[in-house]
Amino acid sequence: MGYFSSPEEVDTYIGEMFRQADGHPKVGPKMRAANVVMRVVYSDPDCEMTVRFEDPMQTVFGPAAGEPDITLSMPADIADRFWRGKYNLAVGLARSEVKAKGPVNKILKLVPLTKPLFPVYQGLVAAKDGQP
Amino acid sequence: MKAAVFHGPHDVRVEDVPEPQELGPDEVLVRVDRSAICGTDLHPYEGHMDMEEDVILGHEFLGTVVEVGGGVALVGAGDLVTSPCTVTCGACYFCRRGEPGRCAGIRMFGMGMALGDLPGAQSEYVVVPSADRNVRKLPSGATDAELDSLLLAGDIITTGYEAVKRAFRPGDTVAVVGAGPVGLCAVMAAGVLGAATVVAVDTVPERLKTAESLGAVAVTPAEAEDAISDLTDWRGADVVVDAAGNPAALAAIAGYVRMGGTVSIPGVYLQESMEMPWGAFWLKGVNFTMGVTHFNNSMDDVIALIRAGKLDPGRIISHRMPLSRADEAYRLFAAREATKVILDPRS
Repeated sequence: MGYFSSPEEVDTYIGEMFRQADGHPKVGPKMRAANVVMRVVYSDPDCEMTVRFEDPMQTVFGPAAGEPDITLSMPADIADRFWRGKYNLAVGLARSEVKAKGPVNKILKLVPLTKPLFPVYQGLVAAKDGQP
Repeated sequence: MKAAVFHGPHDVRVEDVPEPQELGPDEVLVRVDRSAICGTDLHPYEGHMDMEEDVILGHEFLGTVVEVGGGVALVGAGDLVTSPCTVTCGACYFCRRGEPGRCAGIRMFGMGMALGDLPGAQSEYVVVPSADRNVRKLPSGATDAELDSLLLAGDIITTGYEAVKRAFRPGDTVAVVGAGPVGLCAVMAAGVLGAATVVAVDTVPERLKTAESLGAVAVTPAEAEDAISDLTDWRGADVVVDAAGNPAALAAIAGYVRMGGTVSIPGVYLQESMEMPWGAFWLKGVNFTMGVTHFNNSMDDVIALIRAGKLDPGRIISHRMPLSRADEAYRLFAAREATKVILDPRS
């Protein structure tokens, strides 16, 4: 079994991280100004999440209306490793573990905003990591 | 080790950072002997491209191999090497089709997470991944001047060379818009490849003077269309290289290029959209070619031409400074007071 035991856990940790990103002093304003809608389709467990990088930011777990600008597809375990700062997205794209579609310039704009969220994610998963 | 670290627009600091650890099997550790500041470094420096903090900058470098991973076969400790500024996987769909500039996993030194999270070379040491594919072993007896030129083979001279070569046949008239470092390299490359006439277009008198010294007809944008018409029996240039990366300059190219000619764009455009004179381009049947340079395809040509004494991009180097003064070097380069700055991590 992968790191997440259910689709709901993906929302509890990754979805919650995006919700907290809205109030992050460093990246929140930039994310709200990005004007990009990103959908991430996870596998194992299968689920999807849509993040509207708009003002106000919105994170929807499960099917969401409207077409996203960017769609990413990846195993949920890889998302977990990425948010821990232990996965190189470029290498993942080369290996086809991560797939992306949508305007490349919009993707390039969002990627640098992710790094300050690594500690937020690590804080959220700390309790789960500590479980036996 | 010391390194030039990006902290935000107009904020580069030389700091102590940890030396690279845990070399992967396909990687080499290189002691940087010299590195350069490139126009691409200015995209984050001037705030035109978002990049996270704490990134070690720099993607043009030359140095000595200190250590190799267990799977590296083509270079060893003590070898003098350089590398393309972008490292590519060699295995993806695009690499297999001979288009490494489109590599699905392309990584660029010193440009942050968006371009593969690969620490840069304005530092004392740098790690090169996929070393057998990317690293180029250089002659140990090269002169200092040759080394200056070879240092630039990892980016600007190969970029200028390929921008011309993409669409070129000997005897062509080539117009180069933007006589900055890449534009000057395109002027040099056009001459070596066999252009009948090279026209350089820029607004800065010093740049035009340098372009002229390289054999170009140097003109301002206001003079360019008439000058190119006069030189081509009113046809227009066969190839126009846009080394400016500026929408207004690109729009003006509609007046420079001939019917059926090619506009080759090594200049970087990150805008989501921009207005262009598409009617003029369409009626002329203009071809466009653009995007990241396929360094792995062209770098060996360039190195051979430098070693043969036919290309000498090192002549555009205007400043040499110790790495410790990288912040000042960036200010000079951003203010266009320096054409090309070399940073020495050893002084």
